[in-house]
Amino acid sequence: MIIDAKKLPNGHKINTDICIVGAGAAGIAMGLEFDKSGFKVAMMESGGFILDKQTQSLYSGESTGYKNFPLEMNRLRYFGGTTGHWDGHCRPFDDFDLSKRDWIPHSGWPITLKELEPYLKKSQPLLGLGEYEYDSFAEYAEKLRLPILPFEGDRLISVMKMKSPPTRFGKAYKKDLKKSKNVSVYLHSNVLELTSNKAGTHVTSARVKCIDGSKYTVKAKKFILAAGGLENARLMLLSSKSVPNGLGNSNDLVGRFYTDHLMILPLMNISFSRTAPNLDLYVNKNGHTLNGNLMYGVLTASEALTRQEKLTRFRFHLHDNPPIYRGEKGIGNIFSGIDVSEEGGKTDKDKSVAIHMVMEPIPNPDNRVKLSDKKDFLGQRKITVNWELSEAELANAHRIAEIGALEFARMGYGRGYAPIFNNANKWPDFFRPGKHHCGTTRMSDSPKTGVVDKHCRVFDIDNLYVAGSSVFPTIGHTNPTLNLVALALRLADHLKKDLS
Amino acid sequence: MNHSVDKPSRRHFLKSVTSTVLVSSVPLSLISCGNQDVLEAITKYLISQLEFPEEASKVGRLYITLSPEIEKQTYEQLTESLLFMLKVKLDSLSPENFGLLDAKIREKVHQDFVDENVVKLKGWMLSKTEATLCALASTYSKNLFILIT
Repeated sequence: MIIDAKKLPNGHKINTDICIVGAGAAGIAMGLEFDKSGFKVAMMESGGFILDKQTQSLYSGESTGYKNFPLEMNRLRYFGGTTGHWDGHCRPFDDFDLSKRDWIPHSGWPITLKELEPYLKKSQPLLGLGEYEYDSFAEYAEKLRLPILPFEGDRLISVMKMKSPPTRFGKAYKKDLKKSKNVSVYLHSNVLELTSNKAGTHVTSARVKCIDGSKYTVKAKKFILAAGGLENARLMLLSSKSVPNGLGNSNDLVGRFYTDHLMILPLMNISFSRTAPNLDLYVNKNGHTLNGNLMYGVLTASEALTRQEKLTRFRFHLHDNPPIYRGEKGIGNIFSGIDVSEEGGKTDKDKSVAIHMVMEPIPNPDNRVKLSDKKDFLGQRKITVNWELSEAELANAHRIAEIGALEFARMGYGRGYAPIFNNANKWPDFFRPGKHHCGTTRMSDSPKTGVVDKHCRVFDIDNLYVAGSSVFPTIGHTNPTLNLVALALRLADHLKKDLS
Repeated sequence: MNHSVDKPSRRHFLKSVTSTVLVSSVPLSLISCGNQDVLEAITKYLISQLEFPEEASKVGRLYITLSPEIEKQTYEQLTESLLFMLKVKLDSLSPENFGLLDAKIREKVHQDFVDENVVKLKGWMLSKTEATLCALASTYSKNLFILIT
């Protein structure tokens, strides 16, 4: 059922088995999983069915370091959360993404892809996707009769991404949650803090306030924070009555390791030296439909190349007829006589493709979410997000650009132009963050290096869990949504067993 | 304009003119001595690998500006440097076998990208061999201009 919490009497008390804070992708996925489970679930959602400015303003905060997007711009604070405006791009992590990589400090998840895979498969239909067939790129290409770019050796490879319609969770699952007899969604419910015992080892309740001022409390056996990559950390830091540094923060890790994808859009243009190859598998904005999946191809480095070069993960999106860099005339065609041995293979002037890059950053404990001294209209301290870009990351981006240009040239397809080649000491003009807030309550096998354990339980707190991208210790090159939904389903499964 | 229609004919024309001139006017014995005419014929053949000669020359001028060691070289010296890069002996070349240079250049440029023997010119990544070819195009055209004027 769905309840407008503004209609609850002031001082109301709710007793439940599971309290979920947040009704975005993670919260709703878990709500659906708990439906008909026999457990009583109360889900607190700050907003209503429609976005409202006042509630949205609760997301405002400050950024230091790199000039980021305004914090209230990327996230949506209403039923369905940020799925209300996501683009729908999906790809699971590779096992390599979750592994410890010696050249990347603080890398390594305490779980493997094998443990996550059943939940990734389960997540597909929730996101409006078909069969879980990400490893079938070659078969898809063959069925679609579209060529895969023939890069030499095991270096740059093509992988599949899928596109959700995109599924707006608030719209898609409103009816299911309305009908549920054991899952109750409380709209207009802002969790101010979690109270705990004196030692901070057990959460006793959630204090909730509606925007009209009425208050209530929720007592539960288990509490799950599913409020997003920034807000999860904020709530833990705000919950400081018993533990001055905030819940689960005895090692000063809550809020640290804030991370987001680094994007250069575009990173470079490839000016073709031969008749433009068929890139339909990659550039077609509408994607290709097969087996219930809308898919398209992107390029990434093989594990072998990534290890050899000691890079972070990255992917290239290809875009036809690039509007950028028009001032730079394509020179690839100067070399068509060299690249093309057969007649008729020469290209028309100025044919090119743009390469957009999405890059995994290097985890940095000094990139963090902290409480600021400014307060929102509910009287809660806002956040400041510090995000610095490192020289190592810039060098990584530069090397990735070099690899892209080299691989297209090796294939005899053309020559690469990249502004980063002109100035390796500066992020190019088209750099921007990915708006994927991750890492602030990272998963680890030790409380000295993380906030939650492999089951997403907060270390040293027996009944507090975290769901969402805030638990990602590293983020690979893939979009977070499919992966965070899978982790949420895994957590729900774990709690069902635990409570049983 | 569709340049690709013109270019194959242009290349073939240049190759055939170069070969014809040499066969009719240059005795074989003079080739082995690095005769000026022979070098010039090879130079023209090498340059014919590049499409859009004016633009190739612009690229070449840029490479020359950034490479002091190339700036002072004559086109003859650049041609010899290129032959050295391609591991082709000058005295092994005759008009009948200039065509061997096509595959040699293709292989060398490909290998440059494999070995990362590259240069970056105003944001463009090029093979050193092809950048040197462009430099040759620029130097040779400058030489022609000087001769004319």
